[in-house]
Amino acid sequence: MRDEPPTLCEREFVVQGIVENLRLDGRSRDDFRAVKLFLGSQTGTALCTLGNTKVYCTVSGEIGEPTRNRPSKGLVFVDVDMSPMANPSFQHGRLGSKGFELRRMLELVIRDSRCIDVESLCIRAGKEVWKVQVNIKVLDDDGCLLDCASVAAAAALHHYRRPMITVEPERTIIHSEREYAPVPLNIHHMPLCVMYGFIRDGEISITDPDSREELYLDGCLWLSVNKRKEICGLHQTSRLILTTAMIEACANRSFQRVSDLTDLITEICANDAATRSKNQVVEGFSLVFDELLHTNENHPNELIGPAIPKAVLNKFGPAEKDEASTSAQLDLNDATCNDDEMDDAKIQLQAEQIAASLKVQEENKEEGKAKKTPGSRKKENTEVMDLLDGLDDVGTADVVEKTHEQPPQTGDQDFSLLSAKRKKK
Amino acid sequence: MDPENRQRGRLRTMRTSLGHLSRVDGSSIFQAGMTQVWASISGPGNAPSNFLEPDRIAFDVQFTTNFDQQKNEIVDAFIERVLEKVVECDLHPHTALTVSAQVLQEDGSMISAALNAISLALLDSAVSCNSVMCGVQLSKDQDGRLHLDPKRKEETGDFIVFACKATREAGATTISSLKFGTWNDELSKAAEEMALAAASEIFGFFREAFQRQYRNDIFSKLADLSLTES
Repeated sequence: MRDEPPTLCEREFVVQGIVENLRLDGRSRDDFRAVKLFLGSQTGTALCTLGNTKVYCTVSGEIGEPTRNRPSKGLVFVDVDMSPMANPSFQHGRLGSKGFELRRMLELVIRDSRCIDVESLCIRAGKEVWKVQVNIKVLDDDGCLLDCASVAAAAALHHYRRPMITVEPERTIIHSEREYAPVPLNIHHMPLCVMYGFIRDGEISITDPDSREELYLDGCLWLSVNKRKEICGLHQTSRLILTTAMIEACANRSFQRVSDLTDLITEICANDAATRSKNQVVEGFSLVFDELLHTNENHPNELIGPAIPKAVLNKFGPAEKDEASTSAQLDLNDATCNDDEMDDAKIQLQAEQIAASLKVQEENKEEGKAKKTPGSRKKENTEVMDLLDGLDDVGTADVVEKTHEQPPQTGDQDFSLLSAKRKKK
Repeated sequence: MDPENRQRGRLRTMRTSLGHLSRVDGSSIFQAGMTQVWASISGPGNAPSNFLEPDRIAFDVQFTTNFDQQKNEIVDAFIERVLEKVVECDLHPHTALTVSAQVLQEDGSMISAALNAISLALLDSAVSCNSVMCGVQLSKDQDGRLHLDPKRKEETGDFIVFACKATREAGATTISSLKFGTWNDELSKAAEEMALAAASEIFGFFREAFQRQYRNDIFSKLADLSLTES
């Protein structure tokens, strides 16, 4: 079935609305729709919704042969399925131009950004490696598919556990879940996408356009950013000429957004892991019934993780920052008590938690005192870096390298795109 | 959610939600125990011409699961066979009905859950049908005992799926079945009896779902309900 063609009068209406900072669903130009994230009862499954857009992601792994050029590296595949469930104009088993674009971008974000440590996926060099398959299924298409898909994929990758294996001279033993606890993937960083639409030849930008608005845009810019304020990918549709100031503004907005989303994902995954380690019943997608159905009641920019208690969630919201920071600290204390159960993932999580709580504290302090001397701020930053370094040393060598690459001014807002580009080269 | 000591002849707790997808004509989420399936229906509408049939409606069915992909095509054909018997095919010549079912979470009885989800989506999209259908899955363990609506733990290679439809005169009747493994006549008949009893329970659940959907939920389009077996 074909899509409804856009009309001129509606274009006029939508575009004029955006110029006056009014959008069809009541948001302003800079508002995002509410994000909801669910993890399934099977590991490596996640469902992410962004307004009406719904994307489901599964991650699975199997043992296969490596490529000849890279005998000691695991493989990551990304597959996208645009089913008619999302949009009746899609066909079963066909990607279409939109699907190809989505797949290419997801490959860029998940595989080519090297966020997964593929060397740790090697079992026997040249013979056996893990093949990680990321399957994205678009369930409902209401614009910004890539944003939603990248969040779902990141959550599913964090949620995935591969079976433990033992390498013996003649054979490889794959252990069942009951013998050994399955192992999570080694993930260095988590690039997430943020999409911006442009009207009036790139003069005005809107965040998170829905499917109706997407029809009338002059062009889009996709930024793939990680929590450390590194730009991992940039893609622009159409021949729009954008100013540096505009791209920089978009990048700066993405940093905050991605840092919030990353917190949401780590929080949800930690919560899920805690439930599983206590042998409690994992409700998985049953929560969809309670949380998914009230989409209209959400405020813009809200981040919702159904399995998380409300006190933790407030961290993502605008209010009650103090409570959130203390609860994060409490979690931390609990976690540090039992040293026996610590593994790499937990340490990484803790590092992120510390960073997050310190950041919140910093923000709180900033609210209290209008300005601070640059010296004290630097001191704080070095403290944060020291903490992070100490924790990361326990992890793999790669992680340590990455943290050293991190720019020393974590709290500073003045970021220039040029320096990022240079660093990339 | 599901009590471990469920009797062998009882269904698991069912939950459903209707019309949750924005772009398709009919959609539903169906959950039995921990198995969750999303289904959508769009059409009757146009499709590539090589696909259409001159005198009746054509079905474009896709059942997707990431957990056991080998059976997908067999299940597609089965669902199509069932739909042909339920939908009024002659009413919409030269059109296609697009049916998709996606298993989000798997804990046994995935095919029957898909049939139920599709049935609810079909009712939600209001395509003209001659009856309501549902699916019931049974599995046979090594001792030859039957398990209704098996969980993943109870599932074996031997299982049978019945598609049943509701009739005014005789209650539930079977319209089609899909068998895996070895089944003798006697056991199949016993399974069918169990399936028919379960089917009338499922139809009762469907009825209640739609009554709730249209009774008090005018403002939000969606209704959620769960039915616990007493």
